[in-house]
Amino acid sequence: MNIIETHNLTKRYRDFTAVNKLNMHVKKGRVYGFLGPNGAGKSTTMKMFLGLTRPSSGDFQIKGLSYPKDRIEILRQTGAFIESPAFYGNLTGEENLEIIRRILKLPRDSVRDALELTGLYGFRKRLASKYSLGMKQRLGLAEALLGRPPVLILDEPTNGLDPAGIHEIRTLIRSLPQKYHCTVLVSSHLLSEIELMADDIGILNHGRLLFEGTLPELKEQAAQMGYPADNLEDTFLAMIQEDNLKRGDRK
Amino acid sequence: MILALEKKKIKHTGLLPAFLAGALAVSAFPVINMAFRTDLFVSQDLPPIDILLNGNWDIAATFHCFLSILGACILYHTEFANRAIEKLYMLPVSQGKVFLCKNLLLLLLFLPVFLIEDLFFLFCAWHWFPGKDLGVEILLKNTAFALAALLPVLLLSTLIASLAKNMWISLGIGVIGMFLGQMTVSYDTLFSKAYTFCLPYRCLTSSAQAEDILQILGICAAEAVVFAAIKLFLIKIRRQPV
Repeated sequence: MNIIETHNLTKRYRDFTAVNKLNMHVKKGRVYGFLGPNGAGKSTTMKMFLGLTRPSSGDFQIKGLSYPKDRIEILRQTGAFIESPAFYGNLTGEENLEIIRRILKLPRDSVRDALELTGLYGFRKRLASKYSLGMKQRLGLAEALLGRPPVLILDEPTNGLDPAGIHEIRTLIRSLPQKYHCTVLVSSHLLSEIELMADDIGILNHGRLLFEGTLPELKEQAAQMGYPADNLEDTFLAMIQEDNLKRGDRK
Repeated sequence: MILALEKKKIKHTGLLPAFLAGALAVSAFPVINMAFRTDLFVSQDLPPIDILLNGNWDIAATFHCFLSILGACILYHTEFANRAIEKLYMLPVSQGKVFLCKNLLLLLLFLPVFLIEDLFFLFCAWHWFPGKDLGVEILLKNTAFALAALLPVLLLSTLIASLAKNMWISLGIGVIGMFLGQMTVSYDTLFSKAYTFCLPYRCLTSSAQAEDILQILGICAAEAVVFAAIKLFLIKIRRQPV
């Protein structure tokens, strides 16, 4: 069963197409790695899912709910972290989460749960503006995880973290579907990172979905297409390069 | 619920000290004015509160306008500073309600400001006009009138503050608007009667005509509705905060 489904989803800004007829399928209880170089349209797609930008054409469903009719219900069912952490610097980490908890009408202990999950419990009384970059990133994640939503949309969640932090967050994301029965859509421009945490992969370039499937399927397709298949980084780069060349030819 | 959250958000922003300092500064003005120009005021053949309001309301209104602009800028600066407003757009909360609750919060913050000012006005009336009626009733009516006149200023200031990420832009626009009001309020033109930042300069004394008061209240209500409608419309057509 697909939790997220898009049908020819397109976003155009005047003469620039950020997302082009995207048809993606995120299965329930899986970690879906959304991969693509900078400017591929990953964030735009995620923003459309959250209603932060309107699709130019096409549509999508999240948990069977469609946009724009069920926008509020989609937001209620979705925890999100887009681009970089967003918080009130004048409030403590705990107070930041408390504001979101009250908006989502969640039980009181959900704040503690999210703080513990992201390793911020010991720093809950510190002003968010005094947090280190990694702690701010964790606060952003805690905001998304608050109340354990069934759908998580995470846009480059490990940005700014040190290697230990990256490992910790990666392990956390990896464990979420089993622990909390949620579905995770996580974006990155690093294949190595996606490789370690995703069950399914979607590769996006210039707004077009070049590949969707599991890692073994990606390897298989790479071998068939004559791309280097032993190193996924090379597979990804070859795929992007060829698409860029095709686009160049078309121009 | 949203109002309670808005109250929570002003922690450590300096908004409360700013309003308290503003209230004390406005309140000190009639005392100083009376102390230094006693003869000029006590010689007038008017009720004490009328004399005090006529002599001090302009400066009080300037402070009220400035506090409104400052309050709006602080409220939205906390939203923009660390992109908190973007998180708010990803939550199931009405942005229109958030905007209106910010205004309601500022309006409520003005209640203690007016209370402090009224106490100082009453002190001046009691101290410099002994034996005369203190005019508590007219002072309270003026407070209600001043709050109504301040409402469009608050809505306009928060509207501007909500549209500019950079607090200095909204503060600058607000201050220019305020000075324009201060410069033109004394002219008998349609502009000075209807311009948002001129409205708080009107005060309600015992000689005020009912039709004049109703006209000003009507303008205040119309402007408040227009500014709120503009914001609600902008929220509807723009998904992103700015």
